[in-house]
Amino acid sequence: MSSKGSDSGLDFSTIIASSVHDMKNSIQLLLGTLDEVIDELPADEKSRARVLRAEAEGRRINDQLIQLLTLYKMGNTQHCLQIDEHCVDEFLEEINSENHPLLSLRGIELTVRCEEGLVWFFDRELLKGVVNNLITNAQQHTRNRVALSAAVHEKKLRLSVSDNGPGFPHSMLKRGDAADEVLLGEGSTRSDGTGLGLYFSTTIAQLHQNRNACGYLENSNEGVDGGACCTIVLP
Amino acid sequence: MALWTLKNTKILVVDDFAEMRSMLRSMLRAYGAEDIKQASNGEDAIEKIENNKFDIILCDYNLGDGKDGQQVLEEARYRAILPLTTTFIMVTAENTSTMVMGAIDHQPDAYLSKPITKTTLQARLKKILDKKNYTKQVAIAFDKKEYSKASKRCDEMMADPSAPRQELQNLKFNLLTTTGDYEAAETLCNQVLDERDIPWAQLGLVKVYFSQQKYYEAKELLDGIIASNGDFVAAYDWLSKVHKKLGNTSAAEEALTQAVERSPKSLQRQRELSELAVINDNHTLAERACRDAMLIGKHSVLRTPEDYVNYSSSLVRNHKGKEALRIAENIKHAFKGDNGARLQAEICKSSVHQALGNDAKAEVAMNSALELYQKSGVLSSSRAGMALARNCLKYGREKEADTIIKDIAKNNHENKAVLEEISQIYEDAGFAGKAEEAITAAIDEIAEINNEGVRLINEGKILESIELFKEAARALPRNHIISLNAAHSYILLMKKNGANRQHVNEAMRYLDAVKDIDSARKRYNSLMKSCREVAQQAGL
Repeated sequence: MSSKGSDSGLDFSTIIASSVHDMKNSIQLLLGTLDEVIDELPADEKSRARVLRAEAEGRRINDQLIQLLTLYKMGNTQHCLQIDEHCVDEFLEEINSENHPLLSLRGIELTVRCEEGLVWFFDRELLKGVVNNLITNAQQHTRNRVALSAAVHEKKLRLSVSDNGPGFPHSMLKRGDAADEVLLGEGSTRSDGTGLGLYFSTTIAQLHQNRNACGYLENSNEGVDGGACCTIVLP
Repeated sequence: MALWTLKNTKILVVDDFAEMRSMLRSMLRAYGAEDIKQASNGEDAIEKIENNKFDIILCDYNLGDGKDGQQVLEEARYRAILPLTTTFIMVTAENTSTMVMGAIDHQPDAYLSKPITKTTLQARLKKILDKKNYTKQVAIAFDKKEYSKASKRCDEMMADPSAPRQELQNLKFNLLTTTGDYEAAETLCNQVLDERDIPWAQLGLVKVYFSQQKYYEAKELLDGIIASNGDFVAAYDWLSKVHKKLGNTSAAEEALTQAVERSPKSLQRQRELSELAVINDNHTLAERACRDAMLIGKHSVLRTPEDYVNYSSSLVRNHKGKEALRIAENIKHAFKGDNGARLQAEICKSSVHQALGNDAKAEVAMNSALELYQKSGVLSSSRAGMALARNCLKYGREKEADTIIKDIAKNNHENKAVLEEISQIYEDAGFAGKAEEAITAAIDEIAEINNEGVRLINEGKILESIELFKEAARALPRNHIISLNAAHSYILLMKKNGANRQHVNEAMRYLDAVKDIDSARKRYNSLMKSCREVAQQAGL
């Protein structure tokens, strides 16, 4: 699909660009306003949970929008990755601080384990979407704990989201190499979702390439107390 | 750990959306910021930047009509009103990068994509300011042309394990290439690339090869980079340059078309594309690129009257004379009070009328142009001069044409393309022998200056040779040999008496004028090396 050269004057990628701009502004104002509301609410106010919930959904819309845009760009063979050097511990802390309030209201403890000052190369926005996806998944299956951890092993960054729930069914314990298989295969997702989140996560991992190696997802039941553990491995 | 605060930090928030500005302001206030100014458009932002010294500028890329964020940054840097100590952060709607944005010269300190929440803003801002602190000192020394000092600072910083290595290596690379130390730059790139495919280092290697005139090697590298990353805009820019050097102008046009498709809002890129299109007789593309360059330039400080002239000429070639005339008329309004622009406008008008067959009107415009030229004695470009000379010959002002052409020939006595066009101008007007006469005279005159300079140097009269070449360079600013010789004299003086900052700067200024000239490249590289060495010896 080409985004250029149509004589009708309507260029789809221009339309997308400008509506993304508008939507991003709306999300910015939505999240910012909710932030202000939360600040003004007393800590024990009951509606706090509902506002936090609304904020979390706002962030989800943002993540989904980025995913959608990324997939669109991929379809257009446009560049969609912005790989930079980032501090991994700060990255996880940022994710923690955004997810923590709502999870703790639900009685779920969220922890972060990462060596201070660890740096790695990745697309911050996209990887954040992936990790948020995994957290959403984990909180649906966990009893009361979700753990984020990261470390470099054999020149690859291993970033894990684990929980203390029942773990993955046997059929899902494999390395997720092929994004298409994930999307099309039946029963390949733990939740009742469409599998789009997993498809996206696998795709994003694969797009992270360095010196002929590319990233992938790995599932295991080595999470907290034998719970599920999903690891994003990036070269 | 001390509580992180933005107290005593001067901040400018630029966004066309009032609610967005007030939201960002309240977020910044939550971290102690008190001094926050705001601007609702590019013009307003420039004015505020000019009259204040900000520590942080948060500027949205998309600012509605008028200048965009990139143009604000460009203009602020170009006019030197943005101190290097200011952290400029571009706020974007999309996950954008330099790679995609294709900003050639002026890059912000960081990109932040929306939505920005209070927590992310603090974390990211802290990180960006930290990074800036590490690189600031190097950047300031760099800006002051204190290259050895900057380089030493850079090395010291890199020894610190918590320093941003990437950033510093990139700065070091820029330092090395600015002082012409290509071997060290190449080693640095290879070092970085051994670990990871980092875009700046990949492109860095290309720049090194390009400077060493290893065009085939550069092309091979670029083909590889583009194969693995088809949207690396700057890679297409360089591929185009390389193709041009290899003489393949249609491949150069194709590569630049790819770059423009991905990142159309660059004035420089559109100009280069239009030039290639003209060379390749691709009139449709030339018209489009010229028009885009003119339109982009409307909000840019980098615009020139030539952008209008070029568009006008492209319209003439496509038989749109009326429109061409309108554009020519526009020059005066777009550049009010600029005499050089008025001259260009008259020359342009004269050429368009002539092409339309309105001889009387063409002559009137030509006369106004001549009057302006005689008053100022300055032609803004060889191209403008040649256009004027052409019409002078057509309408019987031979003497004036000869003067103009002599001036152009002296400025370009080694530029084959210009000399060929001069011959063509005389031939078209039916004075076949005259071109040779003008060109020979110009070459003789330059040779005489050079011989005199060499004689002075041989007699140890280096100061006199500097005076001679300086004077010549003032009269012939576009002559490469004169510029090179002026730099050479300064370097000889420094070899003899030791270097000082002023002399290094003078030498570098003359060298800078020829750095993109192919035929001057060899001498440029070797003089840069000498200049670097004498400066290092003096600890500069």
